[in-house]
Amino acid sequence: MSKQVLIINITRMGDLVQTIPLLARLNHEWPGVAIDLIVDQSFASMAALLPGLRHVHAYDFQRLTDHCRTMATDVVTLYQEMSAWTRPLIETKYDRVVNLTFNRRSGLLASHIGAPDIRGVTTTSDGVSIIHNSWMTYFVDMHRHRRFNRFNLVDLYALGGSGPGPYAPLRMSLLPSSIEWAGRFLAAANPRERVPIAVQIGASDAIKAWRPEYFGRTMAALSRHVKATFVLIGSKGEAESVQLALATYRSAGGMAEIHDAVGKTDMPQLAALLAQCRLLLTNDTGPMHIAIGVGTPVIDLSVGHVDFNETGPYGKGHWVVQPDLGCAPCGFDQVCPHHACKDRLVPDQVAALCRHAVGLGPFPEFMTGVRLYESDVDGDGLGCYRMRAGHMDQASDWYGRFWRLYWYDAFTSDASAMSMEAPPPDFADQALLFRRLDPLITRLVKRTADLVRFTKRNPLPIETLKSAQAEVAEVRLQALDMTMPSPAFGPTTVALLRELQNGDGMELSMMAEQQATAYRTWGHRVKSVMDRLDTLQKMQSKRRVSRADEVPLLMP
Amino acid sequence: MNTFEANMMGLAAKAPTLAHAIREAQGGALAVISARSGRPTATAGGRSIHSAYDPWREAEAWAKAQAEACHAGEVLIVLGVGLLYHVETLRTLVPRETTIGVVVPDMSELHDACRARALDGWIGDVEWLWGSMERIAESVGKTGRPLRILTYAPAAALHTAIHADLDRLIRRQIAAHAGGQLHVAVVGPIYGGSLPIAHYAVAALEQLGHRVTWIDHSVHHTSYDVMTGLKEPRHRMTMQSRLADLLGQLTIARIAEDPPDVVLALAQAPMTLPLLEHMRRKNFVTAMWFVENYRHLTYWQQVAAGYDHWFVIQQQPCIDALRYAGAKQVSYLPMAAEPSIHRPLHLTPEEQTMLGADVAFVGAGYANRRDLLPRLVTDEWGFKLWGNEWEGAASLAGVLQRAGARIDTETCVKVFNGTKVNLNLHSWTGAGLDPDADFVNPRTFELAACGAFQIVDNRALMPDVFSNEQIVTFGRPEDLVPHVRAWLRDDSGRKEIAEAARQRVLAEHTYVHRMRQLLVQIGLSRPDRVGTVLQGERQAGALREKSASVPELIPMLAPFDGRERVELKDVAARVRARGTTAVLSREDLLVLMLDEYRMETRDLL
Repeated sequence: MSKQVLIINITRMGDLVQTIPLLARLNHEWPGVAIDLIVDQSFASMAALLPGLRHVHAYDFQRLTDHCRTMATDVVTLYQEMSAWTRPLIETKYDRVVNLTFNRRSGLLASHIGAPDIRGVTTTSDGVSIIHNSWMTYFVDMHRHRRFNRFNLVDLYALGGSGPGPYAPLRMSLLPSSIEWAGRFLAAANPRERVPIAVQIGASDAIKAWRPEYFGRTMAALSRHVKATFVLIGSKGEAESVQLALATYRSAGGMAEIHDAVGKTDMPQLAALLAQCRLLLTNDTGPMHIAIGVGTPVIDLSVGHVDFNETGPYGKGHWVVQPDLGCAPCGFDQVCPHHACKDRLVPDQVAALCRHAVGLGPFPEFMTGVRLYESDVDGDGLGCYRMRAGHMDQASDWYGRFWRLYWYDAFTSDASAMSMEAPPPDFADQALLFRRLDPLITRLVKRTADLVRFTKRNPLPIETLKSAQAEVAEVRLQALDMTMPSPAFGPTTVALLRELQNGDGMELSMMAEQQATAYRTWGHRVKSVMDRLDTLQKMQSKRRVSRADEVPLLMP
Repeated sequence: MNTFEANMMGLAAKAPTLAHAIREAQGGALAVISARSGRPTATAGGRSIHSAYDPWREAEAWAKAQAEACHAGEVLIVLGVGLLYHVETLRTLVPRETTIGVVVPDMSELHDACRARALDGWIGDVEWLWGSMERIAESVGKTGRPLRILTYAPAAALHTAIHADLDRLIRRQIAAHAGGQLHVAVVGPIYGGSLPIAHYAVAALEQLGHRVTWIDHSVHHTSYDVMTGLKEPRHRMTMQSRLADLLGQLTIARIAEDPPDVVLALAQAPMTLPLLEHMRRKNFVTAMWFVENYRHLTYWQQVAAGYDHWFVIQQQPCIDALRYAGAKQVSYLPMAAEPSIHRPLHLTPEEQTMLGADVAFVGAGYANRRDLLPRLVTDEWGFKLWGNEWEGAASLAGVLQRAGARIDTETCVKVFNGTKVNLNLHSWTGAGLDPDADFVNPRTFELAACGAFQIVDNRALMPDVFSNEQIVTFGRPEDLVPHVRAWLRDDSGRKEIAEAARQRVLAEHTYVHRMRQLLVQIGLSRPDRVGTVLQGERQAGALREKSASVPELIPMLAPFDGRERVELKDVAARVRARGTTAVLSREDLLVLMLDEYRMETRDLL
């Protein structure tokens, strides 16, 4: 009998599109797998465009929130309705549930439905939220060392929900009726003679939206060089930003036709419209992923708190412009009064990039104040970005590549096809830190092993347990102070902290065992990181020596 | 063995923790002295707690009067500790199966009583209610038996605020266990005439046993006033409008923290149409009690469609106008009085001299009042005018009190009580009487509740609320002086009419009556929501019956008292309370998941 997988992806439209490679990966893992999807009702029409789904279970979770919150319905009715909806899901007896909605309530839903293999947020038997699967855990914690992350969310979903496998592009289907609609919408634009360029001016969060005036100026600059027709997309709520952009466009002498589709499309129509465009100029938004899904190249203006490494355009042939500013990208909870990162992107330069992206202009060599990336696929079949202009600090660059390889090797049974040769930029510092850290880790591993033995004694040696645990806490604190700021050891420490929280043991000795395992794993990882740094450093030394051999002796 | 130790022994068997607490208390709350009869008596802060002559006899008289009013099966809650003579005698007079609970706000007081008198014969025969008032109210409310609160005033006076709080909490507990408790958020204005009405509405809802969240925007009046000082009208209006918007968002933020069953706004509450529409989309039930003249304050036109329920103090054409403007449910709900504030008072001779008069008027200097009131300035009687905005009314300068300063409510009530004939003239911006005289102002009810005689200008809706035997009205300006003259001469007539009006108010026109009517009206139009709560369909007992088709839910409802209102959050709290070692069932997980959705607030603000 075919395997059955349930994916829970409730919260964002973009996330749905980014699930497409996971669907392909599951089919690679289990040919003929039946995949069902739980999605919020507002995204049901988008889910219908995803390939390879058996059933889409849509539910109005917003209505549920409103009813629960305002006590509009009594608890028996609420329970009855929800239970009736989940019963068929429980009775399906899925082999795996992949929860791509990273919040507690989706974890409770996943646990309620149940499966022998639940990945992502789930709950322990006493209701505590935990995360299953290393890739999903990585996803939740990657913001703690964001500047070193090089995994796109698309790949994390595919790796976590299934496993490694061949690259699968984001590809969505289009409804014939939507294709027809888009054709009619753009008919007046005469797309054979003009280059239709879609522009997404708004965003769900103001902090990640480039300034509307700059969009206007970019469009105006582009219209002076390209016979373009601009197709504006977005939701009704973004109308004010769009009007501001248009006002600037006109006052800057914009010459191309504008087709305003803001608030006028449903999701299938939006997809069809984007499919007819040559390019989408956009903030990091859901429509960006839709454009990719229908094969339209995008230019992603990665401002505010978004990091293109996490959520940037997936696959080959897209562009990312990121401000070169110390605070960019900022934290998700950041309240920024100035949004200075947005001023780093110069409209004329962005316009030049647009020209290049549609094949009507050279590569813009002189982009200032930004880093420019072109998206690609690497040797492991994962999405990646190649810097084409700008500069990155050495440590972020090096450790970004290092951790990309490390975690791939650690979490998959396949060794990475990628390699690196450059030596660590701070080897001496990290080696010194390791020498100080190693004895602390040894002590932690020993003491937590002792704790496991103590928990098996009868009667329980309470005072001994307390004393040992206090020692573990104290030594851990010392170790954390050292490791968290370190680019070499910080990420493994984050993984340790998650593993300590993720325990689902209820009985004391099981909890002690899980703790001991977490510290042992950490110890192995820290050592293996140091080994890798050491190997790379030695390789560098060997190369220096061999180059020295090649230098002819000048002295007799 | 001394008295104290004997008392402790008598108590320790039944209530060892209490005995320990009494021992640990300092004492010294009461000054114990010898009464004339030889028994100990007590004072506190110079005030007698028991009779200085014969405290036992005094207590017997009190207990006898209380016992006569008690019924079998009641739980008697005694407020006032002192030396407990009153409790001891009460215990002898009521049947043994009648539970007597004594509230102990201050353990030192009980310590003093245990030192002063031998209580061991009966100390274990009463329930001692000590600890937090919330805990006391909860345990008392759960008895399921009728409660009677008896106050031994001299001792209870030492803890008036605590006892008032306990009274409120007990009422709430009773209503909660009767299944009818709603949670109402009351949103008040920044300033204005409806602000005191909002306070009265809050108190009335609490008296009815409902839980109230009071969203008080009057604390922002100072900021609003600062903006009033802006000279440029556009700037002033822009800033005031923005402040109102912000306060609307603040209201949302407050209700997000503890979502109510109903959001009740009083006139001029800062709630804009977009905000109300947002609240409707989020499924909140909103109501507005518009306690203003719809012809004078016309902003209702902008928000008519925003509220789910409108309550107005005028009938047609006001109701028609609101419906035309988009209001869906409009009901007539006249003003009222608050008997705890608007009440008969005996003035001291000094107060009578200062505040009393033959004839008086309290109010602001509207045009019609400036036109009519000079007729009352005469040597025939003493006339006093109270209130503000009388600048330029030269003919009234001689009778204007306190140089036209605003007077507070308590002083106002004393003026009402001290005046033989109170004139109640509804405001109007023209001369003479209001040609559209329909609604009845709050003053009419307040004067009546005070038992104060009034002459009121005729109002079309007056017969709905008071009969001719309860209120005296006049229909023409020229009738005013003859009415005043005639009624000044008829002391008994005035008293009879005033008392009849007061009884009518107490029976039908208090804010408790109004709030009950308001909630019933909302319940009738929302039987699936507010109606189910008021009818007790959200009680655990009713829910257990409803759970027949989801039997797995019955054990989750089992721990609740049958008459207790139970919502999702309560069931979820019980699941969580099982602690970290409990293994959760699928059903538990579903309840917790629903509760997580309930706790979401990011979409609200």
